[in-house]
Amino acid sequence: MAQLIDKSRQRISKLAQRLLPDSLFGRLALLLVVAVVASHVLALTLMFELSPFPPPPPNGLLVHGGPPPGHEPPALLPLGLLMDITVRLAALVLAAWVGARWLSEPVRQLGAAAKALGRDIHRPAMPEAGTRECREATRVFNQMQDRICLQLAQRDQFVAAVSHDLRTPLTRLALRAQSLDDPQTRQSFGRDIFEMDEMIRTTLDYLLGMAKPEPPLLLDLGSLLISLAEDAQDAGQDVQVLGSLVAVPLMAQASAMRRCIGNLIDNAVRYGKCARISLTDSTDFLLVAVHDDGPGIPEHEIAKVLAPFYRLESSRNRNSGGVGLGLATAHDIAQRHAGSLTLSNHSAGGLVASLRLPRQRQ
Amino acid sequence: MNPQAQILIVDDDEEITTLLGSYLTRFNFVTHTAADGDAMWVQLGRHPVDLVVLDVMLPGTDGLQLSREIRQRLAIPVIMLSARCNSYDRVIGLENGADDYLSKPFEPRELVARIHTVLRRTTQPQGGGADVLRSDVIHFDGWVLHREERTLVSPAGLAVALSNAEFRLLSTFLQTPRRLFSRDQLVEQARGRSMDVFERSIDLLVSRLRQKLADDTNAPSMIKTVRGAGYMFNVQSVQGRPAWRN
Repeated sequence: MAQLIDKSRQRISKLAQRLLPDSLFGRLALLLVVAVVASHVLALTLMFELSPFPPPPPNGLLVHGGPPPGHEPPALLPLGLLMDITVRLAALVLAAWVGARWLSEPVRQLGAAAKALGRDIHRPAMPEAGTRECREATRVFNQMQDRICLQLAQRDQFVAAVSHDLRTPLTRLALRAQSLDDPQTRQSFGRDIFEMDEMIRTTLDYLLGMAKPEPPLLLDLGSLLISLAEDAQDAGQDVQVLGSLVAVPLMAQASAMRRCIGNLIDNAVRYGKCARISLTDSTDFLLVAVHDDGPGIPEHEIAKVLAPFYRLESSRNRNSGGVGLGLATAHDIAQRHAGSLTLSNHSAGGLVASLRLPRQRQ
Repeated sequence: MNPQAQILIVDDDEEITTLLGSYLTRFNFVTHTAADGDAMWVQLGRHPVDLVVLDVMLPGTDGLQLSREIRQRLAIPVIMLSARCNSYDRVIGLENGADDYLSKPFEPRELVARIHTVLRRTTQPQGGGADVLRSDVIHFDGWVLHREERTLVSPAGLAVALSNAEFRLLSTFLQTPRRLFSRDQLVEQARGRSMDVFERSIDLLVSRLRQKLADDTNAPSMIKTVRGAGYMFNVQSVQGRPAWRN
């Protein structure tokens, strides 16, 4: 029995949740409108109770207007009353709407600012405005932002120190390798050193990526794709741009975008042997797709590979290098450009990395 | 160039100075070493040094400060080494009087090439061109080259990305505009790091660069073909700015 009551209570609360407006504004407005309507209904009911005419049902009064047939009250009185009530109701509902908006605005702004903070942690602190609760919440937010920025700065210092410590022995190694007589051994030393340096560099790139703002330029994305493909071809890789490209301008950070698409190409070549790049130009977004010839990624791991330092078990075993930051960096850069990066397995085999960039930056 | 150029290596890591010293000796340089700023000044007083290879992170006075002081007191070129590599550090290094900047770990042969370039530049000053190695932003005839981003901004304001080979070719042209380059000279310059396999013909590369410069391939006005000899970069003014700032 108790269970039954509990269940029905749960069901009611679920129903209430579904019926209740989702936003603060909606709830305030609903509350005020209900109060206004209820008070009117109550007042009218009392008034008609006291008057000589039998009271019409309040619903009928609001919806149809006029009392039910059968009674013949003087026409003027209900019409005047009706007008009066309508005007008053309208005024009060308007006031409720404005009031609710006024009260909920600071909270809405706080929400928008918090969202912007998620995109750019270094944005200027929010002004403390609005109601006292809002000012307090804003202050807490600003303090949190300060603390995050401080931690980021500490992390950067730490990373710089570690990278220095790693690079000094690497420099020694590079110099020492020069005294090797066998050119083949020397070359393989050089390759290893280059690879280790690349790992340090990508780690730094990822960690410092957020901190260094770069002014956006009106960048021809087509020329970037072709340049990156040519660089890869010069390094002996199988990379091609499909279709012919005309100038496709987009507001973007040039270095960041080069790194982003470069990482997608690197990833395709590293795990999928080759990269086929295509550019789709739509009215409100640009889509860069990098398609490779590899084994793809198991469906259940597709979401994880965009996380920093995540590497598929198979790629670890194959010892194909990398620290698992290329896609994470690309993903970050895409988000900074209000775009998105998604991976999918192509039906004809291979992995497709799709970079979607909106034309209008928010 | 002086066949026996004297190089001073300043680094607090003793092994690096020793290894680098013996490596450079193989390329016919005379090398000296110092572990910090004080030792550097002693060595500079003792030997007729032609170029200083200077690490940024040193105990006591750091490399940036030392580079500034060298520039003020002596006319000796400086190549800076740093274990931190990002555009900001590079700009700071170049602003503080360094002639070039290399990040650790570097390809030893790359350092030798840079030393040669800097020495050639300081012993035979070539007027007219932008000091390309020291400039991050180069303006020429309404165009702007951002070296760090390897991006070319047209007079209309559209940024065009350059490939590494195109970038090196344009940098070579900008270093000495209105000079005739033979194809072989350009191939040598555009090859860059030994890691790249340079397969394209220089003519194809030039035509690609012309396209990005909106230079008419049939009647080029910027990159002129000199029949049987090579190419010439025909621009009126080239101005470099050492640093890029917002």
